[in-house]
Amino acid sequence: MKFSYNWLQSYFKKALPEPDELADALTMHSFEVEGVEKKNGDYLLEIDILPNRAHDCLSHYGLARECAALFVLEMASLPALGNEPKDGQDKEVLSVKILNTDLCRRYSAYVIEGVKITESRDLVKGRLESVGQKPINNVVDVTNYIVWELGQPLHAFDFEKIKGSEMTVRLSKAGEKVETLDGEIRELDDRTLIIEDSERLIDLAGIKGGANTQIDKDTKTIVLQAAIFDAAHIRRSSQYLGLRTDAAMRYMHGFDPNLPVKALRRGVELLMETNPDAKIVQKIDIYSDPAKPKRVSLSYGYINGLLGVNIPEDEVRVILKRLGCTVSALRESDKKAGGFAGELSVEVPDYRLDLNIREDLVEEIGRIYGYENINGDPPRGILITPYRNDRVLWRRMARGILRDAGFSEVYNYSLISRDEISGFGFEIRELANPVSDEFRFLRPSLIPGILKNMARNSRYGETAQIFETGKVFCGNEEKENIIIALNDFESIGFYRLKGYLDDVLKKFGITDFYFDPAFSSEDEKRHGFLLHPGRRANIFIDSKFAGFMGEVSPALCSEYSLKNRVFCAEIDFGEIADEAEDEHIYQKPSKYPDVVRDVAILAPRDVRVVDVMNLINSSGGELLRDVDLFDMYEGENLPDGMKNLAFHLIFQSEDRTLTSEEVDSIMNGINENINEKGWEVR
Amino acid sequence: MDIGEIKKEILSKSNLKELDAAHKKYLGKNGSLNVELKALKDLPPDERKAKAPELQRLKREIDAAVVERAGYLKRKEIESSLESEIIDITAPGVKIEMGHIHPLTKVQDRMNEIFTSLGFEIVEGPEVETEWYNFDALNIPEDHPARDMWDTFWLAPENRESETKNQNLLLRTHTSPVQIRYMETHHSPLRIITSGRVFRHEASDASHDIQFHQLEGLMVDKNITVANFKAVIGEFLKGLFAGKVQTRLRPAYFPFVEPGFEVMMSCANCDAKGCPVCSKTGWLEVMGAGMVHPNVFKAVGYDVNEVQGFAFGIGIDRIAMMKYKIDDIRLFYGGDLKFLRQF
Repeated sequence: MKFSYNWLQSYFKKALPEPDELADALTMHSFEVEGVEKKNGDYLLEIDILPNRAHDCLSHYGLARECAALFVLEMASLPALGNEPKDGQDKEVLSVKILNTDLCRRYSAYVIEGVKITESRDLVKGRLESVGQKPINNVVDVTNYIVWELGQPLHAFDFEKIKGSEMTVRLSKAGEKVETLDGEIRELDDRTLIIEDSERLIDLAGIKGGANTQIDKDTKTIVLQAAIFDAAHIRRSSQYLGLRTDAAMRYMHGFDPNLPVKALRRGVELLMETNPDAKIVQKIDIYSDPAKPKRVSLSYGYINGLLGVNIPEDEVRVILKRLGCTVSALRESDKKAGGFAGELSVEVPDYRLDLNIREDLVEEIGRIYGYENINGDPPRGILITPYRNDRVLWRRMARGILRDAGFSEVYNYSLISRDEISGFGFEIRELANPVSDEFRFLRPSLIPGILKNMARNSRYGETAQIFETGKVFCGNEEKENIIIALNDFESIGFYRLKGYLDDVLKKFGITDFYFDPAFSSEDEKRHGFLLHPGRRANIFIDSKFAGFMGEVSPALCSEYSLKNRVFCAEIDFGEIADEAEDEHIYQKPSKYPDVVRDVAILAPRDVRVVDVMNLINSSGGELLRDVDLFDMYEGENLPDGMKNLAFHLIFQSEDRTLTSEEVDSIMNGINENINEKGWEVR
Repeated sequence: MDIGEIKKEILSKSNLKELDAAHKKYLGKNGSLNVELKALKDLPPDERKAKAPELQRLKREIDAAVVERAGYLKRKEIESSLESEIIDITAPGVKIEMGHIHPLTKVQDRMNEIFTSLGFEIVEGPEVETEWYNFDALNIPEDHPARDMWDTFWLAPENRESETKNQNLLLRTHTSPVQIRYMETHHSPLRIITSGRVFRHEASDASHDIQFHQLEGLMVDKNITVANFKAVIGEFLKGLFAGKVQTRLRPAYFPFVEPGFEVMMSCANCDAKGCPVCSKTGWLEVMGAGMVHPNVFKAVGYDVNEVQGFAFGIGIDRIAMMKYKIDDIRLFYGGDLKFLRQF
């Protein structure tokens, strides 16, 4: 809210600190001052009043009270606030009924005759203008001025327009309509607080006045209303109606129940300035459950024990008094009422709705004393290492391994569009209130994000190797996946990816994993569309399904206008973390030289490499240490339907140097077994 | 045989091949000295005794001269080859494509490190939360205006009816629910940090996005104070910004703490002198914090007379933006390698 420095000053005889100094002190002890602007011989302070202080500080008088406490200044009181007007006792010209007393804590109003609509006097107009409020006429200006001065929303009805001289405060019925002051006709639900006269709705209580009873240039008698409507109720209705007025915003934060009457007294005083002949003919004040003074028990030990300082006892009492509290020794009745044992009983001022428990008072003492006066003090405790979070550790390790392997980490949005979810064969969670269609569903997979990244980067002809870890959402299940992706123009991309995957899993100490090309019909339904049907595999870790890998379906890639092929593996990171093991036993390297032999095999195209390798391994015996596929070729110079596979075979013994004859004999055995299968050793 | 002549001969050899030939001439199988040495055994003992030492000495001297000359020639050979092997070291190194860690991960890892070293345990929790954990348990009841401080994405209701109150699902607006979940299952004393992705229902611009990352901390014991908080957070910010940053607290309001503070850090860009980064104030808001509200302790079943503690929350994205002077939060989520390769 904008505050006028001169207006604030008007409540003090002594000078306030200079605007900049005032701003600094308020920022450090009360509310952040976001700006100080010099304007027409005044300074405008833009102050971000904290939400829990909106009820008492969103007004010049309220903030002046805060300044009085901060700077130990005496306020020049507004005598009108305490002076009950004498007239208005005799007649009942207006009858008011409250049907929902739980939603209307207090209803106060004055019926005022002899009103003449004119201009406000210059001081009122000047102050309103200084904070950017346009003056309209003396009555409307009074209602606005009171809000800026005291924070209480006032509403003025034209009494003669109220049919049947009666007003009822009640909840709306579904479908009822009211035309508000802005000329809009609003249709209501069945639980909005309204005011009606004998014929129609005339007010959206606490939110906006009705057009049918508004003040005009001929208005002679007004009903000046100051009420307290239920905060939560106004918040709900304001949201329902999409009508976030200044009054509604203020009601949402609650009010001191003693404020309405003060606001009326001050309002009348201001009205009399332009309408000296105006007369209160009726005073209404429906307030069945008056607020009782609030007491909070507090001990010096608790204050200092929570703040970690040593504020002397008399300083504590001085600070509380500056804040308007009455401090006395704890009464027996407070102790019996279950209050904390303490040395103090603090009665808080009625305008401080936010002070209810001892911690609230500790905050008051701490901020006035000054947090800058509290020195840092390292906590003392038992020296123990924190419990290790393995998931965080493994995630960090995965990122390190992948970075070293040349993959860059991306973060994508957790929310995706309808287009991006089409194809998934399971329930995908949708937002009730998305900001846009682009971010409507909770991502069920990390692939859509990765494809967007690939599309973005391939625009510049980049080859990319990227990875992401993040939450995905499948129906009600939330889990963390990791995706590793690269692009390539050739199918070799598949094997590059598989190689990385092999290495990554082994670095986690995971050796029990395999790739299975068989997709069940359930797999097909759930996510089959993502991958090229001839270039994909499910990944099993410890015989449990952990994820899948493959070439992203070319149809899907074309939707992202990708020119090259994308290969990715998406794995449930929980499965990796569960199986990961960072302890292992070293194996002594053999000190004898190894012998390498190559073998090239011509086999039909549909023969699987894994079967050839298994045959070589089983024929090679224990001296065959490793089989390494180094070439796979189909095409020119080969018979139709055949492929050539070339392997390095590495032989080594733990206890001797192998002779050429020994290895030759093993190779012969391998070759025989290959030829027996009908494949040809070349 | 004149050893002086022989040494001269050895020194005259200019390559290893010639040197080897000269060596063989004297000490090869049929070398002249070797022949004489072999002949020693046929001489009578007296004569042998007289001649042997002289021959042995000659052999040693020749061998030594040859080894020395050979060493010299090898060095010469290497030296001369070095000159022909000169390369242009100004040509660039071979490109090795290393990967890059996301800046948000880097900042988060650093934060985790600092707090782990201070004895804080890292705890994580779900991104889809219930209204209870995200709001009610944190002293933010339904229809309380404080709820407006967190613009929330709500999940569309499921088909099946949810009877329990405040079990409506939402995308968590902060990582505080993790603190509630932790306290429900652990006793005081405790020291934890929770970090992860959070969501806000708002229009995105250079400094706001629908998702960002938070790190929150919680320390609870019998007698944890505001002064303790100041010390811990001072250590943390010094560690994070590797320098002499100062911190100060000013009042703030968060429903789950009382007292509540905003933590201000001296601007590392201008050393608190005032610059555009800190809007000329010299100070930057870096986190919200406070002493845990008794209602929060009540919600998790703690005895409010037995425990007190501090909690704080810091935006990882914002800190990363400050640290790397990134001017648009959306760069973090765009997957642009030209951006990511800088980290």
